[in-house]
Amino acid sequence: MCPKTEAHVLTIATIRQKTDVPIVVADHQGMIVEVNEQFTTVLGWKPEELAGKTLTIIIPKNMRDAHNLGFSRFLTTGKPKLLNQPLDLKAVAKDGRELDVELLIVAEQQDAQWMFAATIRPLVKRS
Amino acid sequence: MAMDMQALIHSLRTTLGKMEVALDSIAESIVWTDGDGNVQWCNTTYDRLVGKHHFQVLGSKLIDLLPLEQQGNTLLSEEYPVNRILNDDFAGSGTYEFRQGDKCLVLEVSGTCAHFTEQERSAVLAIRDITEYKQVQARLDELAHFDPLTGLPNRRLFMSLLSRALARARRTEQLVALLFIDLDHFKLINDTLGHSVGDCLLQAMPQRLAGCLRANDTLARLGGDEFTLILEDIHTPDDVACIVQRIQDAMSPAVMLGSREVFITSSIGIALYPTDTIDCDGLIQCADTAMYAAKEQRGHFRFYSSDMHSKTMERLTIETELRLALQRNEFLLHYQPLVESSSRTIVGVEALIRWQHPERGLVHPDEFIAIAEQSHLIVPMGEWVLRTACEQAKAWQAMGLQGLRVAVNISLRQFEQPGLVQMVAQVLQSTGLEAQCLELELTERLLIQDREGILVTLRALHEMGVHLAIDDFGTEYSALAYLRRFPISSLKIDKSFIREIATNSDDASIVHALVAMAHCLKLKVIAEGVETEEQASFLQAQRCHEMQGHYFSKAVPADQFMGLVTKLSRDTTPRGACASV
Repeated sequence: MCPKTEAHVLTIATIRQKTDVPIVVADHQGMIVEVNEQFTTVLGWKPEELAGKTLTIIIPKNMRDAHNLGFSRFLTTGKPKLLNQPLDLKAVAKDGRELDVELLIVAEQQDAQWMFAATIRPLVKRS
Repeated sequence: MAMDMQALIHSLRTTLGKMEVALDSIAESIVWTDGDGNVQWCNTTYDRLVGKHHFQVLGSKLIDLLPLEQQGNTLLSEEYPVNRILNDDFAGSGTYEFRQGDKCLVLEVSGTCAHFTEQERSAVLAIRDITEYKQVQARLDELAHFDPLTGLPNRRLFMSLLSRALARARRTEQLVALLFIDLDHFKLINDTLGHSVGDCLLQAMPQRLAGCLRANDTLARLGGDEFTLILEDIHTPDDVACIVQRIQDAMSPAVMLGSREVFITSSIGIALYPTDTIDCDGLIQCADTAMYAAKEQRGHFRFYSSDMHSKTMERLTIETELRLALQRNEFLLHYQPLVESSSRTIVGVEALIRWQHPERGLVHPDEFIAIAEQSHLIVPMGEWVLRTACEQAKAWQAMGLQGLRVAVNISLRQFEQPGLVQMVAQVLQSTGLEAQCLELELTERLLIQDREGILVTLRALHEMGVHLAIDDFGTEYSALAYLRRFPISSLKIDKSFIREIATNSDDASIVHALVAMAHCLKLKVIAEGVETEEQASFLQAQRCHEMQGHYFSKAVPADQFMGLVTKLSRDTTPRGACASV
């Protein structure tokens, strides 16, 4: 079990093929382009409800400053702070619940524009 | 319109990007929280401060990441800076100690509460890590007040502790005793065993003394081997004497310095508040004066007394004048002949120092040699004496007194100084005097030290051809073992034995025995203080080799010496004593 190594081989193409884990794909402006079925199963959002929306819709309020600053910084400098590594964070489900998830975000340049994809594994909280 | 929005968003993204880069690059931690104290954003400086990854910090409660270092009662969470900021109960900035893992961080926290919307409050904090600064400050504080070698209060702290002790005593009307403790022969240990050994000894002092002291007694180190002790709650001088006795008992066991066992004694001077004086400086001076008085015997303690003060003043005056005397050439030598008993002719002279004081006239060495020794002035003074005497002897030899021997006294202090052998060799070389024409007179005190260094020095002088004589023999220890151990060539029998030989049969027997012993050991024997023909005849009969005394001549200035030679050779059996001093 070595998530970092997995991260190195993960490409957006391989992420898109995943069906067992919720995924989301976003463009260089942070607009959601695509989610998979598993995403809908776990988080309740339907693809059509998210298409064209910014990522902040699934990011808890508390994380939005960090997202906006970090995302902007990455676009400005190209240097990642949180990419390519599993992050224990939260995602907002359609019913407003904040789910504990393990997030893994990758970025790739396609046609001179950045594309982002992430896997969102729900974490079972041990009590 | 849509394109304008695109451009605006792009422009804002760039601005935000620069903002984060800028905030990440500063040395202060920047962090803001939501209304519950959860981190919404922080810069990487803050990540490093709390020792966590950026994503771990985001969303966490600040109070969990960085709890306050708690002393005593658990702090209420309302007291936590972030919570005070959110409650608008924060002065703008403050310094706090936080716990971060096993470290305690001292942080200067500045913060404001931002009300972004009616519901949304945010605590925005800038945090400066001043832990290292505080450590340096504490260290500087320590260095300013404590002696790094022993960890004891230094002079500065001692001064303020003493003045506080005196202020307390003023209120409670009690005595305070101030002790100055000086290690005897510390310089010698430093010089012979090395400074690191000396330092070890100083470091061992606090432990040694710890057992003698009460909880609120204050031991300090003023520098060098000078320790000082403030004793409060004293009722009588006997209380002090009791503690001093304990201190000296604690000092008496041998100290192991490396592989060596060294015995240490201390001289202790004691001054009492308010008996002796009532101010700090005065008390220090009294204790110092008493310590000097104690040092005359070494291993003793002395309470201050007012006559010590006048003695000290006189001592200081003489010491200052002595220093000047060397520069002003106020010293001169007188010479007393050494007469061969069998032929009654002059075979040598002893050079004796005199001080031509501008106001007091000719000062006898008894009045200044001890002070010169204590102040180490004896070293340059001794060198001057040796050089002048050798030059003079060489001059007399050139005037026809072939083989004339000159005797010069050498002080223990000169032996403690490195380079004595080289100095003697250099003087002989520059004056052209042959080594066998020089006799160095040593005291018994020097020989009983029985130190390897002294033996080495004496052997070197002996090998050079210089004669070594023991002065004032019989007055001190007369441990005969050293006569064989050291390369001694002559004994000078002290004048106190000679004075009564004609009338006191005990003294006559002692001199008889001493001369006989010297013959057995193949040592030359010289009698000092010969004042009458009876004494001279007795000594001649005992086969004492040489004599010296007023009967032949007192010590005379150099320009009168040749006349003396002529007179003595004309009158080989002089009748009637010469003039006395």
